[in-house]
Amino acid sequence: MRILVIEDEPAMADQLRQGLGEMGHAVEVAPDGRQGLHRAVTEPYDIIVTDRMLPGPDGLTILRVLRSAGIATPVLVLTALGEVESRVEGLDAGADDYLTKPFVFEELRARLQALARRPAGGAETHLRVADVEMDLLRRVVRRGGRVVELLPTEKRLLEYMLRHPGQVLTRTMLLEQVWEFNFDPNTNIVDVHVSRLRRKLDAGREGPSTLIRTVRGVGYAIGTAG
Amino acid sequence: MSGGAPPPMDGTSPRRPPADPPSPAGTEPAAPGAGGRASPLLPRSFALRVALASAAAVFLVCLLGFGLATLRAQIRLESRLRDHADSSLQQELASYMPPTLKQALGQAELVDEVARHNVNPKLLFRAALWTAEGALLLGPLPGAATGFTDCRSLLPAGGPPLRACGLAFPAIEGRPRPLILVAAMEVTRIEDDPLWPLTLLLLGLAAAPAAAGVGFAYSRRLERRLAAVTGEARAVMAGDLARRLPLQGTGDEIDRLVGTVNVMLARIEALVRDLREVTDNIAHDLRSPLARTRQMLEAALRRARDPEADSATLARAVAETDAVLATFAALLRIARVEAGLRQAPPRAVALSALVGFLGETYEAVAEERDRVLALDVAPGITVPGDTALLREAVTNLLENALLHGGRRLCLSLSRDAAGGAVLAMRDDGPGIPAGERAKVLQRFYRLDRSRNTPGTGLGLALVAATARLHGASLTLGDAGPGLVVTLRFPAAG
Repeated sequence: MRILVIEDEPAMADQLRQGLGEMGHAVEVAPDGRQGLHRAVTEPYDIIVTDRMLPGPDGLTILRVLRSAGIATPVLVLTALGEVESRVEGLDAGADDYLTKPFVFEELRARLQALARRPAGGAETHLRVADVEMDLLRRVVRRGGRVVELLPTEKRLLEYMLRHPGQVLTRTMLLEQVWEFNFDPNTNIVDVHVSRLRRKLDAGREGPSTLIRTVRGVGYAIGTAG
Repeated sequence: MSGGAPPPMDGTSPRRPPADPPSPAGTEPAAPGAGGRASPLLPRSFALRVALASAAAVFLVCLLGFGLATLRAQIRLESRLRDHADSSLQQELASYMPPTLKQALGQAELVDEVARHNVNPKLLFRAALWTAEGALLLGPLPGAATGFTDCRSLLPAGGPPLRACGLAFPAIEGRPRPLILVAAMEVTRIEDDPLWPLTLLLLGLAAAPAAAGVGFAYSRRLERRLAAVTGEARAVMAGDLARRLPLQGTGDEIDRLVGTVNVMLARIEALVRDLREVTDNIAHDLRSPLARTRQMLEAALRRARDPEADSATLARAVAETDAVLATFAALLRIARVEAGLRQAPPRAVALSALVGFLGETYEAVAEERDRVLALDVAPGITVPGDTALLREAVTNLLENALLHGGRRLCLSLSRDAAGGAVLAMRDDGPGIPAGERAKVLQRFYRLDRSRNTPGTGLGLALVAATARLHGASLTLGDAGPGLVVTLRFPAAG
């Protein structure tokens, strides 16, 4: 993928260039808001990663300009520690995702993947991965045709995972999307609920669970890597 | 970069708030008047200025007041003198007009009679006689060109002012033409006393020092009080926050001002004490993990390279750093909530749905930990507020109960009699001693027994800040056994 990184701090910019480069992406770095905006408007990118606070036009201004110009390139906004409410502000301005610094690089990688594969529309009424099927209107989950009883929380968790088949979903992503937590809880609520979901989906089946994979130290993925 | 190591910095460029001009505690404040409007001609002492001003005022009042009073008295005196002169003159005139016409004098006799009187220098009167047509028969009278039959003041050039009254004599036998006799006398004027202005000036000069003295004494007392206040304020500025400004006990304006400032000082002292405690705690809570990490990394550096052991060390270092960052994040959130920055217009938060969802989430976590979380959530309760903050507050209460409470936990949401929402988190753990309940709401305060459980020690502080922002009361009580934390939201309306 071709990624534009708008970041004014050299150390951070280098890390992003190196890390994303190692992942096989073509990375271009703009050191300030003016150059970043210029490139974002004139050249085609698959994803734009921008710092929120920038010299020149800041990240949110760039976002608004892009969106009002009809450029729908997915944008991930990076922000400093503790700017909780700016998350809402950023998403309102048209950001596709929001990540607080400092972050684990795997977190960024997973989010970029999710952004790159974001489905075009959300009009489907059924989600299906392998032999798991979810009827979004009736909120009914079946595995191999047999109804699996799930709690509302578990259904929300499963729905989000089914919408991102094969992708690594980090704990933070799950917390943000399923629980709407913008803080880190002190307990392992993601792990607890994933393992319950797994248990219910695998009930009555032989052999090791293969539907929901654990990605060590990062998070979970449903279905085969795609 | 794989392996979960977070980039080392938080990436905010070094934006600092603009540096305040340095103002160390010892710096004197700008001298009053140094940059102000004070005239260089006036003394700096307040008392001296008041003395000067009151002396000047009294001096002016003396001149003006006495001057006006004198003028008025003079006018009245002159009018009395005039009346007196008029009646004397009219008597004199009447003496020429006998009661019966038979005794009336002929024209020549009248002229002689009047002239005879005029010759007598002892008499104050002088008289002139005109025919009704205006021909002068006897005279002249300085200042009067023709006769008149009323009373007038005459101001002859070069002579003393005169008061004159006239009388008409009708034509009779032996006096074929009507005549007009005018008699006049000198009147003195009071203002002619040349010493009077000097007297006024002396009077003013005598009164001014007296006024200055009184003004100086009064304002000197005021100045002393203010100086005492200034001295104490300087001591406070120098860092002795326990000092209070002196009160006179009179309850006057200055006392009220001083009282208000004292209340402000007490508040500042409490805030600074709070801040000091928090700073000490931050220092402790952040330094320990950093010191541990440094120790660990240094030890790893000294040993021979071993990929497996090094990875383990790095992973632990990352975990410790994450804990520090979590603490920072929590601190910043509390600070923001307390500053009310997030006080966006409150929206209706579906508290029942929120509490139900969180309760369901933590039921599973509790089960995993061999605990039981019971839920008792009344449906349809909403409160005005901030969903994200309330979500975090309820989560903190749940996690607090899970980490520090006993085995049986209960989260309930109901309405009180007034219609306000009441959220209660109850556990059957060891509880919190009554004396420490207020303290656990402070940042970083942790009971000794929970020093080693996970958590930043900031959870309840954030709940408390959120409660304040929502106008809700937060109480910690005895659940007998255990702890019950209750959040009471005010009834709508």
